Amino acid sequence: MKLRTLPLLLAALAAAGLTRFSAAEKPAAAPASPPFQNEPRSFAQPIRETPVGSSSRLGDRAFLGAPPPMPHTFAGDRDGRYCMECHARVARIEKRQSAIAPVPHAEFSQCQQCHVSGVNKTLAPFRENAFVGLDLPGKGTRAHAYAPPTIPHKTFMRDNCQSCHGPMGKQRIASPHPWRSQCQQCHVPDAAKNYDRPLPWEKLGGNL
Amino acid sequence: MQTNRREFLRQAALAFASSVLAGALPRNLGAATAEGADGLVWHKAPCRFCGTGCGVMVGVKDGRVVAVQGDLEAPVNRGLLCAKGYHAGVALYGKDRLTTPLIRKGGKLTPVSWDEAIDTIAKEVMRSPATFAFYGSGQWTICEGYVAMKFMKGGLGNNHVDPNARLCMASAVTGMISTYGVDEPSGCYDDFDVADTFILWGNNPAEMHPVLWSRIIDRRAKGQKVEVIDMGTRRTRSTEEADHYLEFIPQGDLAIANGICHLLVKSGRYDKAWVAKHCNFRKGGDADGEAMTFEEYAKWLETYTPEFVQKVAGIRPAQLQLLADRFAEPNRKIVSLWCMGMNQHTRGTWINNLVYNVHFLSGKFGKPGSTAFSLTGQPSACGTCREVGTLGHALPGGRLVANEDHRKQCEELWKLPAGRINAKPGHHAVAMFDALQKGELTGCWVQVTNPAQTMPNLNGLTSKLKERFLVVSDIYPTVTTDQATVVLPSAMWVEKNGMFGNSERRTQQWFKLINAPGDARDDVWQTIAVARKCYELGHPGMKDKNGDFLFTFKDAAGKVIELWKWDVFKNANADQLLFTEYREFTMMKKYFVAPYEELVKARGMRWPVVQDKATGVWRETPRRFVEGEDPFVEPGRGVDFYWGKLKDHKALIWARPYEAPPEVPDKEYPFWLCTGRVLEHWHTGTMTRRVPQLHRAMPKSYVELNPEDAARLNISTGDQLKIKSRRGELKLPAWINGRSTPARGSVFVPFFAEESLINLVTLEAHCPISKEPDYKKCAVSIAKA
Repeated sequence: MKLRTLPLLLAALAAAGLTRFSAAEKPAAAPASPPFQNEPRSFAQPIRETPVGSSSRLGDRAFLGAPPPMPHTFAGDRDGRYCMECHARVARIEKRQSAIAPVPHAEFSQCQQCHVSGVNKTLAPFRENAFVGLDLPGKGTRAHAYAPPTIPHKTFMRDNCQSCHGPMGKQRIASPHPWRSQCQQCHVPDAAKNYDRPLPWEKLGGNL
Repeated sequence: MQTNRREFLRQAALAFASSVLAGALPRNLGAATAEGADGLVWHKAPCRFCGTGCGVMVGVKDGRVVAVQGDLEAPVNRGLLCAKGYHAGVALYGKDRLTTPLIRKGGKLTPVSWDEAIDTIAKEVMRSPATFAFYGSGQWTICEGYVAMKFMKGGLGNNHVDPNARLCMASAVTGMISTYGVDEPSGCYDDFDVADTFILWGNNPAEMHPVLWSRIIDRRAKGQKVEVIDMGTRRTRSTEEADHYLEFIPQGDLAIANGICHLLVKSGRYDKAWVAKHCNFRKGGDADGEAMTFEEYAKWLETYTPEFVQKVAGIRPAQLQLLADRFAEPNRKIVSLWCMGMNQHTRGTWINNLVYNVHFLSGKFGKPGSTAFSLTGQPSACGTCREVGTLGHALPGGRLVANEDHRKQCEELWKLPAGRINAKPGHHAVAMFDALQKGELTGCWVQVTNPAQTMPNLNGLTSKLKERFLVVSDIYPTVTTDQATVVLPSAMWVEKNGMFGNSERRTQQWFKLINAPGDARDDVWQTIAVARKCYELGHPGMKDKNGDFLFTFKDAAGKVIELWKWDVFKNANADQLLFTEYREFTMMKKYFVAPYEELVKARGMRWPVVQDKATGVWRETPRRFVEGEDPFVEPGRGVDFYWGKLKDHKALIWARPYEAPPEVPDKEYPFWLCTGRVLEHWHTGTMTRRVPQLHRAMPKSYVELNPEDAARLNISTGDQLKIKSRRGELKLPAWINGRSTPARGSVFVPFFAEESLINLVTLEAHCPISKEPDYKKCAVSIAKA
C-alpha cells in the first residue's frame, strides 16, 4: 500500500510547487512517471542494440514505428501521388523486380511527408549520432502450442496485415495461411505491447 | 488563483482517498513505478518542431528516448506525424551536443564551470545594463520567454527583447491587430475538416505543415470533395494536389486580393448584411489609418480591375474571376491559408489586412469551415512570443510598453516600484542586430535560435558579433556559437519541463522525461541564475518593491524556493510556478490560458479557457469571436470583434494599395530570389541534420531554377552556379524540376545549410509596420561557377 500511495503523495506536493514531476535526476533508474501524466504506459519491449543502418528487418528505420525511408529512386521529387500506382497492389510488377509491399495504411495519401528518400544509404552523417531505438517486438504469446499467437506490436497504421505478413512480406514473418483474410478474428492485439490508445478498462488497473 | 490551487488540492486529495478505498490505482502510475528499468514508458508531449503542434508519444527506456509515435488522442494530428516529428527523439542524441559552459579565452572557446559562466555574464550585464539585449525564439517554451521578459523589462529596465518570431510571424500579428484589434486567429483546425475550398496564399503546407496538409487532403480518400486553389510563385508539392494553380508575380498578391474585392463589390455579390453588421472601412498606409465610407472604398477599389491585376500580378482575368466566384457563392465554405509568403513581405501587414477584407466582404469568417487562418511557423511563436509578448514593444498579456496604464498594470502584477518599466520600446530584431553591428548595443544573449544563419543580409547585420559580448544558449555548435563569447549548454525538449502554444491557440504542456546530457541545463534556470547573480552584485532592478528578488516563489510553508540554485531548480517545477504567475496577465486581454493543472491532464487546450461555474468544467474555445463558442461574445451578436479598434465590436476593412517591392530584378540582377524551408529540415538544420534519415534524404543546399531559364542558360541539374546579389554571393548546385519549380525568372534556395548561407544574399528591407524582413524577394544574378 505504501508504494502505491507514493505517486499521489507526490502529486499533492507537486501541486504546491514543491517537487518536480519527474524523478529523472536519478540516472540509475528509469524516470518515475510524473504523477499527473496523462496515461504514461509501460510495456516490456526490447530496444535496438545496433545503431542505424543495421541489417535487421527494421532496415534503415531509426526505431520500430519510425517510417521507413523510401528505398528506391523516384520519377520526380514531388510525384508522391503516384506512389499508389505500385504500392496499392499485392503482386510483383515484373518477375525480376523485388517484392512490393502494399501500404498498410491506405487512408493516408501524403506518402512523402513521412517516407523521405533513403537512396543515399552510404552518405556520411552530417554529425555522428548516438541514438539507440526501439527494436523489433519479438513474438506474440500463445496460450498453448496450437493456439494462435497474439499480435506483439501496435496496430495503428498497420490496418493491412498482408503488407508485412502476406506473400510479399519477409519470409520470417509470412503468414502460413495467407488465404485467410480476417486476421484479427484469431490473433488479438497483445495488450502489453499495443500502446495505440488507452482501453476503457485500463484505469481499473489490475482490478477487473 | 488561490481558489484554483485549493480546488485542485482538494481534488487530488479526493482522488487519493478514493484510490486508497478502492485499492485501485490507475495502472499507468503503478506500472510506471513498479516495472522500473525493464519497461518502456510512453509519455505525452507536443512535437518539438513546427507550429502545427502535433501530439506525440515519447517512448522512454532506461532514461533514454527510444521511440516517438503520433498520439492518437491528440486532436491536432490524431496519431499521424511527419518525418521530422517521428525523428524528434533522434535529434536529441547528436554526439556533438554541448555539455559544458564555454568561455572564449585567447580566441578559443574553453570549458568553464557554470559558476564562472554565470558570473561572467552577470558582470557584463552589470557593466552596461542599458546596452544589453536579449534575442529569443518562437521555440522558447512559454516560461523561457516569460522569464527572459521579466528579467529584461522588469529587471534591467530596458526593452531590448525581441524574438526570431519577428522574422516569421510579426506581419500576421500586426495584420490581426490592425484588422480586429487583437492578435491570434479566430478559426481553428476543426475548420479544415469541413471547408469546401482552401486557398493557399503563397503557402506550401505539404512541406511546412505536413500533418495539417494530410488532415485536409486525406479527406479526399474518404470521398469528400476538397478543392485547393494554390496561388504562388513556384510549383511545389502542394501544387501537385491543387485543382488550380495561379502563378503570380512576386508582390502581386496585394493586387489580387484587392482585385477579388473589386469584383465582389462591383457585381454586388458580397455579403451586405455581414459587412454592415461587423465591419468599418479604413484607409491609409500606417497602422492607424483614417475612416472612410463604403462608397469611398468601392470607388478606391476601381483601380483593381482584372486588367490592372493582370498587369502587376500576372494572373489572367479568368483566374481572378474564378477566385471571386468562389467567394461569391453564399454557401461555399472557404479557408485561406498562409504563412511566410505573406508574412515575410515588405508589405506584410497590408497583405494580411487584405486577405481578411476578402473574407469579410464575402462573409466567410467565423463560421465552421470559413475563416482566414494564419499558419504559424514555430512551435510556440504564438504561445511564447505573441501571448507572453517577448517583443521590443510589448508586455505580457497583450500590453504595450508605450502605454502608461499598461506599464502600471504590469508593475503591479510583478510587484515592481512604479516607473520601473522603461517607456521606450526596445529594438525589433533587425534593428537589434543593426545596433550590435554598429556597437550601440554592447552585448546580447541569444536563446534557442541561430541568428548568424537566419538574419537577412548577414554581411551587413551579423559580421561583427564576435566583437560584442555574445552569449548563446544552445544544444549544438552552430554558426552563432562560433561567434559567441559565452556558450551555455541547454536542455532540449523532453529534457526539461515545458509548454508550447500552437497556431490554433492551443497551449500544450509536457514534463521532463530524461536528463540533459553532461552539464546541460534549462534555459529558464540560466536566466534566473544570471538575474540572481545581478541581484547579489547589487543591481537595483533585480528587486521588487518589497526588496525581494524578482523571481521569488515560496512553498506551502512560506519558505523561499531558491530556484537559482540548480539543485533546487531541478527538483522543483518552475514551469508551474512561473506559468501560474504569468496566467494572471492573460486575463487582461481575454486570453485566459488554461490553468497549469488542467493542461497537465489535457492534450492541449485552446484559449480562452474559462471554468463553467455550474459544473466546474474548464471549457476551451474552438472559434474565437463566435457566439456559442467564445465565452466573451455578447449574446445576439453572432460574431463579436470585442477588441475592435473603434470599440464598436466591428473589424476593419482596409484600403491598402498595391506597391512595388523595394528591389526588382534588372539587367544586372535579372532573377527573383525566394528562400524557405524544406520538409526534412527544421529551420537552420541544427537538429534535423543530425538525424541520419533526414540528412540522407536532404544532405545539401541547392538552387532551383525554372527549366526554361535553365535551358536558355545551358544549365543542367548538378551544375555549380554562382548566385550573386548586391549584398553577397554564394555557390550552389542547380536542381531543375526537383523539389519545386519556380516561376520563370525566379530561383529558390533553402536556408537550412550552414555551409551555404543564402542569407549572405538576401535583403534586410522589412515591412514598416511589423518590421518583418522580406526573405522571399530580392534580385540576384545566376552564372555558372
